[in-house]
Amino acid sequence: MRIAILLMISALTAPLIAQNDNTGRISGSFSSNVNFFMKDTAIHASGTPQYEYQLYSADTWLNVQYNRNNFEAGVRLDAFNNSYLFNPNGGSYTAIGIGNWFVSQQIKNLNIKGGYIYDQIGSGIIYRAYEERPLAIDNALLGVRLAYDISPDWHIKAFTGKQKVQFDSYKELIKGISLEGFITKKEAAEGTNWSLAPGIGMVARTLDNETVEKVNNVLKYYTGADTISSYKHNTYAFSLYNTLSVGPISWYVEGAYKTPDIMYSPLQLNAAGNAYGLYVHKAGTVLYTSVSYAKKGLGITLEGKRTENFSFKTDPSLLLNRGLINYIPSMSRINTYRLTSRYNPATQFMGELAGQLELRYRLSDQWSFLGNYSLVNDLESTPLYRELYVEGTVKPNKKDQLIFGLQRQVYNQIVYEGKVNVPDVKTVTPFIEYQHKFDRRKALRAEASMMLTDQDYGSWAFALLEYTIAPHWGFVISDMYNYDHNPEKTSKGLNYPAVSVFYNSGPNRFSLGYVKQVEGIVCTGGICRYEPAFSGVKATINTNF
Amino acid sequence: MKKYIPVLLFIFSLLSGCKEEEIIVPKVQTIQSERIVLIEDFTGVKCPNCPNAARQIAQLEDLYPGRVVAVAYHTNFLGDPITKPGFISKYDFRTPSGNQLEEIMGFYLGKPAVTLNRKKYNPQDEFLLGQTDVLANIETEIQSKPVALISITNTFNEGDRKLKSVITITPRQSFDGAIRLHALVTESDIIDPQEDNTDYKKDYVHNHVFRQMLSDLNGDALATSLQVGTPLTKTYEFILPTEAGWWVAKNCSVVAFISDYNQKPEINGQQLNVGYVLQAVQAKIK
Repeated sequence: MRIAILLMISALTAPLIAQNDNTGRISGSFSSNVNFFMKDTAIHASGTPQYEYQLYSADTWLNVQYNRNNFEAGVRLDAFNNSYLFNPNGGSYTAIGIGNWFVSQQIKNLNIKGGYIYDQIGSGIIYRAYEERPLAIDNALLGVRLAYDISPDWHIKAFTGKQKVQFDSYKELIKGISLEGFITKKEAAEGTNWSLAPGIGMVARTLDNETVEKVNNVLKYYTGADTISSYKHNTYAFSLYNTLSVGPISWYVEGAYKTPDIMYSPLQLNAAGNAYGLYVHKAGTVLYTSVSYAKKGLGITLEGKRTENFSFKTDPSLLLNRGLINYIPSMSRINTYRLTSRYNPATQFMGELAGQLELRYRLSDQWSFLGNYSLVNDLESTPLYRELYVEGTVKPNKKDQLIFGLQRQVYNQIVYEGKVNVPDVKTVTPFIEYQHKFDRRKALRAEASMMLTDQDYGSWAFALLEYTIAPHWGFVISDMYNYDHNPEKTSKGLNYPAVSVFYNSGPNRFSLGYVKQVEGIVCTGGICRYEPAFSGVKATINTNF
Repeated sequence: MKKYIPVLLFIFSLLSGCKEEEIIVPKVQTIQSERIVLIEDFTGVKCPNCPNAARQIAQLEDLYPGRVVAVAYHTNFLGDPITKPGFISKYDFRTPSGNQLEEIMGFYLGKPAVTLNRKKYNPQDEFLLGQTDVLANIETEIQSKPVALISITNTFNEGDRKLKSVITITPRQSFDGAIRLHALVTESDIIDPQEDNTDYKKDYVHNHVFRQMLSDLNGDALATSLQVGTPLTKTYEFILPTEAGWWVAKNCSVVAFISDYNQKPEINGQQLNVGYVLQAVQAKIK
């Protein structure tokens, strides 16, 4: 803690000078999300401390970094006031402290880094330490990392430490090592280039005695076929990966294996047949591959993934997104429109078989098309998710752009949301977006979509207008209306309007908006969490320096 | 690059090749004790995982006979009545006291949310109401010596449905603290729908359902010290509502427990307004 404060003081008091190797440079960012709560029982935005008496919450991050020659240091101040970020179901968290700090020194081919470290091995299947603020994920490793350039094309790194949890760390020890390289060859006669980027990695997690005792105190009550009689402190995960690039084709493949590990399996039926969710002790595997082709206006990407028993956590008893050591890519498209992004298939760490195909084609300077199909099954071939997405873009002139498309989804709410005895949600969502530039400064964007479905809340309509006056101002008004509501879910169709204004000044961005938001699931890259309904005013401030 | 391969193989073998001792999962202990623990389960009829916690509590009652007292509070989150045709709830188990107690205890990450003796056992726990502390600590708690024994004498008049409950606290050792007495009524064997894992159960049996506080929600101030040979007594009276599918007298019990408000759990630097439960007991009202 003392080191972090000293770093912050020295970083803030050092002179701000344009890049100069002799004096160093300070940079940073500030981000704050402020909420003012207005109770609305009709949309279930009520019953939590924020709505009942706190009426205000704020999450703030101030990041400062200092660079000089081969030395780098950084510190981040985190402040949470009445925050529901870590527990949206009525939690209220207030704390302020150093959320991140690091020092790094490059000595010839060796880089030494200490503090909170974000990193990953391969695509993250065996190890990924990252930050995703909307999901309250910040699993940086508090430890030491050494990275050595064996040659210009071969790099080895090793790290050890404990995983961060807010202003503390879990007790379990995590260590890892990886070797990555790059091999390229130009075939002069044929004029083709090819390259390989192979890698191998290993991560080990050691359970501490307190966690072992906690797990034992659950396992000892298991009976019959559920019984686990023994296991080990250490779990090892290995990964082998490679990217082959030949001309317009790029092929990534990664295979991973994890030694037998105690994992909580939410869909595992107990021996008595009356309850889902128990600990299992099994080895795990992941096989992931992605092939892409891009040439002359045509882009094709094909992905496939098979996952089995690959939940890898710091502490097996941690729930939801807590304690994640690894990250397994999702096999579905990242949708950006409000209604097309309402249902997302969270990665099923314990078992899934998934694939995705995307085609992009630019017919001309005016016309381009995109088609995407993704499917996810469990390992018993039960369908979990299907999505067909098609989109066309037309730019008749420099001032106008029209995007139109259709999405079809089939989404298993029992598996993805833990709902009981509900049918798959089947949706058809047409959408359209139109952008017009009046002149160099003024532009208008209009968006409209409809989600047609008989399940969950029923059908929705969404409309948005955004008017921007460059370089400073932006105004947005939108409404999401449950026009054909499902009476089993809600007694009447409700409106969820939002009005916002944005102001940009150089690196500074301010926004203020009145928002009503329906409850839902927020996902990023297959990692999801429940987001309750919101009613009130949101203000954000973001800046870089 | 090839010259580094043996070195790398050596490093990998060092990191992964060592044989380690296995952890042997212990067996459930048979415990002779006078200590009775309190398990409070915050639940709801729309919580599909909550029946798992109820089954686990029933297993603990079987494994440690007479050592476990359970209370199930149905609260707003996933606790509103089921409206699905064919499984419509007949009863609303939620109570203002249950919701208030949930807020006092600092909420939770998800349901089922359970607490053992209102104690935070792991300093790193973010919530008092969790899912792992009960099993991790119940044997240790049951093995501890109670500071007092509690007995309940219930008298129930069928005619006017008046319950008189005399609660006697008999100290087993000297103890100083801010001691409060809590008393409440629970009801078991209530048949009503419940979401249970992947399905709705129409005839689910709800047990230990919290019905009514007899004392103040935060307990009634009892003493600042307990002395061996000096028992303490308190009497509560309550008229049971008319039986209408529930409030079945033979299924109702009085639960009494004493807590020490000098031992409050701390979450995120703030003390919660509950005390460590020193001893509990329950007795049927008829």
